Amino acid sequence: MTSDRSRHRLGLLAITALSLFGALFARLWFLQIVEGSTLDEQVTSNSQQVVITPGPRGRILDRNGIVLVENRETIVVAVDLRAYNDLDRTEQKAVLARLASALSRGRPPEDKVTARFLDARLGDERFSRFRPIPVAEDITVEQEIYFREQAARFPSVVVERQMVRSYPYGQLAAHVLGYVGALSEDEYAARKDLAGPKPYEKTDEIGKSGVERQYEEYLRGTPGRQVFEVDRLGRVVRELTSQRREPQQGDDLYLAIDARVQYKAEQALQGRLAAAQGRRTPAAAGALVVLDPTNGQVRAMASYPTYDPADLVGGISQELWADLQGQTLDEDGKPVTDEDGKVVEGPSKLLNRATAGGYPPASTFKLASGYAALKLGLIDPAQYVQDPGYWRLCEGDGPGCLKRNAGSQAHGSVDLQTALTVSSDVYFYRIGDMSWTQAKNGALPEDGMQQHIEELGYGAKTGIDLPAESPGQVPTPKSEAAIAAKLFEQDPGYYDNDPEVAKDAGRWRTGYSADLAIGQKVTATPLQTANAYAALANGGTLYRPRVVDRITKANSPTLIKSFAPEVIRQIDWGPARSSFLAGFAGAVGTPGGTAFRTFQGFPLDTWPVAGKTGTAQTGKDKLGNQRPENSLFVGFSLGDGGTWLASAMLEGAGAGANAAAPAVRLTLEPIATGEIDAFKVPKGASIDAEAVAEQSSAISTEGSD
Amino acid sequence: MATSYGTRTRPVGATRHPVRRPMANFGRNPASPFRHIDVVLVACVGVAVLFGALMVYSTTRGPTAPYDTSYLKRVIMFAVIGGVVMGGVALFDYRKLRDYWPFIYGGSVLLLLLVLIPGIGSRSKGTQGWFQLGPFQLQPSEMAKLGMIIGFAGLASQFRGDLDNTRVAMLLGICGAPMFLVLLQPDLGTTLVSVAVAFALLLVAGVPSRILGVLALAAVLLTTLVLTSGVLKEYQVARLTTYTRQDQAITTEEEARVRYNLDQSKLTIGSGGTFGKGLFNGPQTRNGYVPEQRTDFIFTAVGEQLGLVGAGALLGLLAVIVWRVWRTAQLARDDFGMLLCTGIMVMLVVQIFENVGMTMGIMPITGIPLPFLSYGGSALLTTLISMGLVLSVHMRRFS
Repeated sequence: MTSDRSRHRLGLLAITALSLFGALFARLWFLQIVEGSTLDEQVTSNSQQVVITPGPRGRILDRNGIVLVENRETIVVAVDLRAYNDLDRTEQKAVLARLASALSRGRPPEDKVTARFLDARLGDERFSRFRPIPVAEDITVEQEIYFREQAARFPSVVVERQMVRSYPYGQLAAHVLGYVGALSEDEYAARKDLAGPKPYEKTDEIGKSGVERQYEEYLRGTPGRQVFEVDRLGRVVRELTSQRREPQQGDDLYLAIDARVQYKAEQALQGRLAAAQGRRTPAAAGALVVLDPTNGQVRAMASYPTYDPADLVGGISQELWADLQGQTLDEDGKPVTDEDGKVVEGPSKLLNRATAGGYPPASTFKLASGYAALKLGLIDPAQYVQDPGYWRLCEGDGPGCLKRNAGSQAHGSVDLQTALTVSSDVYFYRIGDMSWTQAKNGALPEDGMQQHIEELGYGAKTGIDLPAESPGQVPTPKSEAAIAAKLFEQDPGYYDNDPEVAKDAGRWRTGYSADLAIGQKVTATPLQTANAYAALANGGTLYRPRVVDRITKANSPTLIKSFAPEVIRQIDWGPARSSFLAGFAGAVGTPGGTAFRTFQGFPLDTWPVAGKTGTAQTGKDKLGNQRPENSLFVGFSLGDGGTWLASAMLEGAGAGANAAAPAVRLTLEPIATGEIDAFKVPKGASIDAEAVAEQSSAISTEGSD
Repeated sequence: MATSYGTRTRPVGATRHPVRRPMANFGRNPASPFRHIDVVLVACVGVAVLFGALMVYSTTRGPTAPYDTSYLKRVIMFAVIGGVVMGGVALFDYRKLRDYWPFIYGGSVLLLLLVLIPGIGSRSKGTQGWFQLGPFQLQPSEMAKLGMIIGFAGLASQFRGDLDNTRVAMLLGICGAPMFLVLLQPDLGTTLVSVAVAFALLLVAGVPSRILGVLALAAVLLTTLVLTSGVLKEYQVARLTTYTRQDQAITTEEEARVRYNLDQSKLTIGSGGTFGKGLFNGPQTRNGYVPEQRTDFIFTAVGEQLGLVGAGALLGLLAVIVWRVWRTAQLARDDFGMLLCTGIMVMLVVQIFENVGMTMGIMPITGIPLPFLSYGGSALLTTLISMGLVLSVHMRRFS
């Protein structure tokens, strides 16, 4: 037996043992070297739990440091899911039932919290499993004390204090400020891979509109981070303190807006809208912008109807959302509809009409058409034109052949300056007629007028630092043809299936040019109008308007970013500038000027003002009645460094001098008299529009467009 | 025997058992056992046991101070007792076992019988396999492996290589009885180790290849039969077969449990990378992600904390120990010593391969401890006794 065979077989065993050890080492190599990093990442994600604490958002202040948006503490009831899951099923049910009844106490019946709602909330996947899930916000201190005292009856329920947005001045500048809301699915999807120090969680809030949205990256606080090591049952073992990061408040945003002027502007807008309300006027809506023409900074931006951003804190109910859209809900929670089944919609409260509302600029547009005519060489400012009250575009009695002044008033012999002062439409019909006639001859390009009009910023976004700006619309022969072609493509039946009919419908007509020249057929936002006039007031610089002046570190004067005035382009007014200025000054300051009576009593001698009225036709309603006209006015200071300009548009409020001009006067007057310097915006900034209408009733609303 | 030392002359007049009192002529006699202690083996075993103690401590100290040292103390106690016993066994002349083997073998089989009786043996984790002795537990199946090796070696050495079918059957019987009893507990892992050991012993004992082939075939058939017949409980089948389906969907709850264990085990080892997370610094180990980590899954602690370098070094250390045992089998001056060492070597290799292999997902999960390292008194004691036997064989290769 101690034979060779045994020794051979021992050798066999040695080889086997060696290969087994080799196999182990190979496997070890594979796991630790080949797959090592992958497995290590898995281990890290398994054994570490990161808890994110949102950083408070930065404040928003006006240019003088008045705080418009800050943060306040709210008491939140939340359920700690890990503790909750340790309860058995019946206990869980009991806790939810008790919680529901405790939270419902003192609430109206339709606002009661149900156990089902709570259960659904706990299953909502947007909330981190590792942070208590909020189920009720803004509970009272009494309730907080109750929950703390009765903690034994509410296992797994925690009461926390959290920071939410607060608005010391209520609705003031709501459209500029915007609001903050929970991140939507889409918003989260777009940001979940975002690098940088401010990553987003599903439960985070984000600026939804206004500067809250535009300057999100600055306002957003830097989230704090705590990394915990957890064992396999998810229990926290310890905190990895080296990886801890405290949350930091976001940057402070100083607006270019002056809260006092903003308040006066909102008062003026709402007061004059209230004063204009009559039997036939639609729901009150309008906008008023105050600019500093020397740098493009927005001093005030009012839009009506407005909303209270505080209502939007902590989620928006269906009713509130419908109300913000201008809808009302019936008992079933469905929007109210008219006989035709169409949803009845009033003016949307969220829309910022100053930047997103496209309205016909009417006679205020004569600045642009006059400028274009000068550039095209169609007029000489000093040349007189006969204004018999109408302008004939074509022979015959066809509709549109005869274009009339407002009220068919004859202004006699007018040059550019007078035409602006008295707002002669005929002078500008002539410009439109001439431009198209020459374009047809080939002497001018087809869109010669439009090209120069667009130099003043019409038809394009001004680039203001606010989201959702409208570019307005300046139609050209090309755009008209394109619209008809598109319509034909979508529904050939609309043009009797005949491409020739469609082509004819898309043909530019002389009447279009005439209408364009007096600001009908074209749309512009009140901000665009303000900006174009600012380029005249400041001598020829078209600035990019701004609502934000500077950004600083939270609660500190340390500057992070400031914004120098940004020039879009230079406008060469040439010698005609004096004609424009004199014309606009005349509209306000000379008898016969369209807004002369409105500005009676205004200290024009110490604080001269120029301005232009506008009265926009808005078409006919379903019954064929002419709808009330939109009232427009732009006014700007000639003295005082020329640093003030206001542009107003009041829907359905009548002629320019009826509503918009008084609103602008009400806005500028406290500045002109210096009253504004001592003025303090009342906390809450509530406005009694009726009272303002009453107080300002002495202002004449007479005058034409 | 000892042909590799063929040039060395044996002292004149050396008898078969010249030294009954080993210390008596240590200084003078070149064949004295104390001149032939396997220092390498002793050193490697010492390092392995201390290393094991450190690893057990790392898995049981808890994540935060104050650290739990109770397990460390017990391991050290086991190690000290085991060391003393190993020394005692080494001093003991293994050849005496040739006379006593029936008692040792019979004793171990008797213990296996006793442990099956409810009330005497105790049950834990579905296995009727422990004697509760005060605070300690004795696992007779551990001892029985050694008992079987001694019994086989004793009987086979009496046959002196002359193996007819009857004698092969007797040897099979020697192996079969303890295996059957262990299977009744049921302790599948130990049974599997025993099968491998028995096969290796038969091989080295000189059983003809033809019979070995038949036996291997029978073993395969029997295994298939056992796995499919439903004799085994569901959890046992799941443990045995889960590792073959690591990338497939989990079908049963038991499989999910086993798979969790396996996944955590692989994650823990893999996350160690080249150099590991550092001693006491592995999150998986520190926070108890791996079930049974201080016993059967101790290797994961090595993998995570010390990485490829540490775990590779450990495998190397164990390989050196195996090599020393194998070398002793080669050098043994008689068949008994050779078979003893062969059995012990195969026992070590199979346990190491099965244990380390299961933590890395290349072997089924069975409750087999890692020799020298896993926490457990019986296992450590058995391993150290067997090392003592190997030392004894090595020391006495010239005497």
